[in-house]
Amino acid sequence: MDSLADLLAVFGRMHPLLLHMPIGMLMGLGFMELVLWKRGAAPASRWFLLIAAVSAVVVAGSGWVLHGEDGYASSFGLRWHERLGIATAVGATLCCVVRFAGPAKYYRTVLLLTVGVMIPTGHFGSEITHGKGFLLEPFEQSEEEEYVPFTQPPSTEEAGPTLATFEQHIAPLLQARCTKCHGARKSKGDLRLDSIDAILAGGEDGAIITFASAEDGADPLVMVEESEIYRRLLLPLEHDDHMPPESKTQLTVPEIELLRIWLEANAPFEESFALEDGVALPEAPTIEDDQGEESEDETLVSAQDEARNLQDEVALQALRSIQVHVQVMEPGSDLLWIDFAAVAEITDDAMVERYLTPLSVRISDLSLSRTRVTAESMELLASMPNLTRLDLVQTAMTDAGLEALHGHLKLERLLISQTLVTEQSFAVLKSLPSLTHVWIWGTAMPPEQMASLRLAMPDVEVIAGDSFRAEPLEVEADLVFTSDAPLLDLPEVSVEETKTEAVEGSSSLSPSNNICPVSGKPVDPRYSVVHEGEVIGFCCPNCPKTFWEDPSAFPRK
Amino acid sequence: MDSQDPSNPLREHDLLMTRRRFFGKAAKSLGAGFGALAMNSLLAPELRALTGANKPSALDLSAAPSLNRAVGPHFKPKAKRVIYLHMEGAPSQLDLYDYKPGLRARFNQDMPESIRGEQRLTGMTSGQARFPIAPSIFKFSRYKNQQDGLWLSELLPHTGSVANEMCMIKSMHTEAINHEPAITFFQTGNQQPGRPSFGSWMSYGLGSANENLPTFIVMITQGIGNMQALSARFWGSGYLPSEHQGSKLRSGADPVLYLRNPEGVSRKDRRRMLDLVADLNEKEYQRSFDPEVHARISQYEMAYRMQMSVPELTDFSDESESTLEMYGPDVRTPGTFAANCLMARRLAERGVRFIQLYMRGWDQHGNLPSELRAQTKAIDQAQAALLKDLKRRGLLDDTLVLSAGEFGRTVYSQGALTTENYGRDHHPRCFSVWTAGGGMKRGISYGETDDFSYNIVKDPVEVHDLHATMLHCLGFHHEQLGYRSQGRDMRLTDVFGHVNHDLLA
Repeated sequence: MDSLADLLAVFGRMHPLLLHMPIGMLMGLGFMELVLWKRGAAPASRWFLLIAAVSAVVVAGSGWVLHGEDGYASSFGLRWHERLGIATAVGATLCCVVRFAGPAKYYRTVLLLTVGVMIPTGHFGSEITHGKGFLLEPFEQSEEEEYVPFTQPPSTEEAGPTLATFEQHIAPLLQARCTKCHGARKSKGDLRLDSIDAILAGGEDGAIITFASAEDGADPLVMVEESEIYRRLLLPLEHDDHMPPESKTQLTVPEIELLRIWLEANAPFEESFALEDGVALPEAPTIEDDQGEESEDETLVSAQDEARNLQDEVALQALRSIQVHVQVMEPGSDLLWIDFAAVAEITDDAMVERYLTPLSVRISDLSLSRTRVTAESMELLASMPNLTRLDLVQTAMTDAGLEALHGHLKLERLLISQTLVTEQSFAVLKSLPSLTHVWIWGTAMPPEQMASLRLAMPDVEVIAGDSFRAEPLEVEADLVFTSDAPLLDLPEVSVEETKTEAVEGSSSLSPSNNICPVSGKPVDPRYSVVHEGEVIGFCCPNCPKTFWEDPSAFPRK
Repeated sequence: MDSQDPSNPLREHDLLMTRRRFFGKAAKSLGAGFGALAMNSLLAPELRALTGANKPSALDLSAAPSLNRAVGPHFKPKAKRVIYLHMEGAPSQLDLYDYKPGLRARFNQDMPESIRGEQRLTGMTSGQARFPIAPSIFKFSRYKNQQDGLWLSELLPHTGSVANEMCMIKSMHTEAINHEPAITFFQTGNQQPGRPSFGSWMSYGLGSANENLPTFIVMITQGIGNMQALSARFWGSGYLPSEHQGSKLRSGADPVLYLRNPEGVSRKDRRRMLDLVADLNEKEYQRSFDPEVHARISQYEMAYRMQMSVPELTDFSDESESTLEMYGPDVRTPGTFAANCLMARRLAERGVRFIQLYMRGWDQHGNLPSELRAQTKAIDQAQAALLKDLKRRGLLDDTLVLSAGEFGRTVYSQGALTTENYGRDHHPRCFSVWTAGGGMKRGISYGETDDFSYNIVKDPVEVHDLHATMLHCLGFHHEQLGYRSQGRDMRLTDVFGHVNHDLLA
């Protein structure tokens, strides 16, 4: 069945080949009929026409199959290519019907109309393969000069550590990630990102940088979250509007960060803008060589991407198949959170090596808690350049194993509670420049040395389970209940009267009666209420409720 | 609505219908082979996404074996999971968390009209002739936190030791005044029954992190006092697919009934039986397109995997003596709050996303002091131990713990007031809840009530706000985590809610 599916796919892919047949034949027929019509001669061969019509239908079918494959974003050109293509096939079939059954005049009209529809079909089709504006591109070369093309970025050393500019940092980013489809050759969605004017002009859906309505005279402010150029980057990868498309190289988190900071600085094109504290400039994106035939180029790049994705996908699928949890750290990021919790009991060094080695560059958060990993795995874990959180709680990790982590650049959170590490690992902890939290409860690290460890690492929170302070800072004095506080809403009765009615402390709360007025049983002083200045006792918690329903119904003795 | 929009239910149905007709026709004219071929190649991409025939992408957030395809967070989350301690019945904020020493000099004074305002009363006190102020008879102590200390009742001595981890919100308020709607509101964001609960939203949003256990687990502890009905719809999935509903672990010695294979049935036999049933169910799905059929298949698979994972989970013998001691003596009795707290930690460790504990019996309309003593005795040591245990194992960092009732209780006594005994009625205008870990600030107190703990005077937090803020910690824009039901995009926070950035670490 798969081979049938493949056959069908091949049929679809033959569309660009087959289509030349009806184009050639129908164009030829059209010319011939024009000439013959003028001469008043009879129409040409009907069998030639039949072949042309059948081939047109076949081509339309193959086009439909090809469209069914992924990779063709719905666009104006594609929609019209599809509609007109179907119209051409229908037209050619109609030609046949009229030719075999009707007068020559009608046949020729229908044929010429069909050819008329076919020409734009072919044009839209060619724009799908070669890019928009392909046909007239040579004429546009001179116009091109009017755009201010981005200069190549100078090396980042020239820029200050905290300042960035559009030209040096944003433009290269757009060039590397966006202009292939939003540039001179192709401008999908009518959007170009290769010049300042074009960026401000936006695309078919309007502006891509949204400005808030401006106060008088003031420069309008950029609304970052509403700006399409930023918003689409953050959409879920599988979202249709997500940019760049799922199959293309994605922007890295620092790159998106940079773009956000630029937008927040009101998208300056000339002046430089300051990076926020703690934000580093992303590495300059590699710009793919744009010389030579573009379509070849694209195939090459996407083939490389595909190979890399495929390898990763195989590794990810393998992890999932053994029920290890894998999740991206955040949408659009390549970095991964991997958690072995579901299979902790059976996870050993061999398993870790086998499944994690192919993904080692992408792992950021790794939970190996309760697994059977030992020091043997540490070489691999330490070689993960992007590891920020490592959970080894309740494993047999030793000082020797931890030693491998010495000097790891990115590790922020290290969880080694309930492992075999001892104070010998203090040196490793101190050698980690990014460390912010370390969990060492239940290890052989002596509690009396915690203070010195904390002193040595003032920026690191050391969680040793010893910080819970059971004693209160202060305890309320013995409680005295009064009703001395001034009343907020003075009732109509005088203040004196209120005071006599108020009950002073607990001592005066003994009931004035011995028999419960509701039930007639002996009073339990715990169930007393104050009514009209008198403390009335009851036998149980229910009787006061009955009493309150109508106090006058229970005369007191 | 755009007819091409794949989320359009009519479009979805059209696509399914097209496929069905195509199969029927293809089988008649071209043979069954072409039907299968058509499925692989001719389907519109959105239909392939719907039927799951698409090959999962490298960045797919959900695990392959499950039908449950999670939405995934919108941005980098601080919390990976939630432990929600629901104090069912509404504990008295005045006797536990909201320290009002000034009330001691207002014993038995009438509740000032100006404070009570227009607040509606429940049928239980509306007939009462007067509303005598009942100060708490419990002493409070101040415990160290990141601010100038947290005052806690003498009923919570162990909780005091984790004050430095807690984010105490004293200005919660809710719309409902009776248990049923108020619990429903807190669980689902709406007083009317029928919406998915928070845990179901998280199952749908976060997906599973351990395919061998349910994503959303519920455990119940019976209380001492007056207990309200606790219906299973509090952890229901509403209009979300049924596999997102909470799975209840029983409180007896056998947390999941009928999990063992009967005598003479091997695990292999069980597997073959399930495969056959799944085939039949799949046929039924092809006929009816009822998504509940798929939910049923995945439930069977989950039960099969739980046969292996649950016995290990519920066996506390690998816990150290000191850990058990920390949770208190009750921990050895299944179903107690202490045992459930320890179970919650074990579930968190194993990657369960949403763990909800219900502690029943906080509805003290009368005899509050004695009942509250018993209730707090059951939870105090255990909840403190849970936080300590999570903290020292590194789990508190990415686990968001919430403890909340459905509303508060009144400052005035319901029924008789003495210095030893009183009761308190329902009070929606203010109550105290606390969170810990998971991206919320720690060691702080937020919001203030008036001297009577009756009205909020500073920084009110409504239920939707708390939901929105918790979703933020979990990596979601609360306006965007939605599900289309009956033609409308539904959300946990409905059309309300603001992320409270003051509460975020």
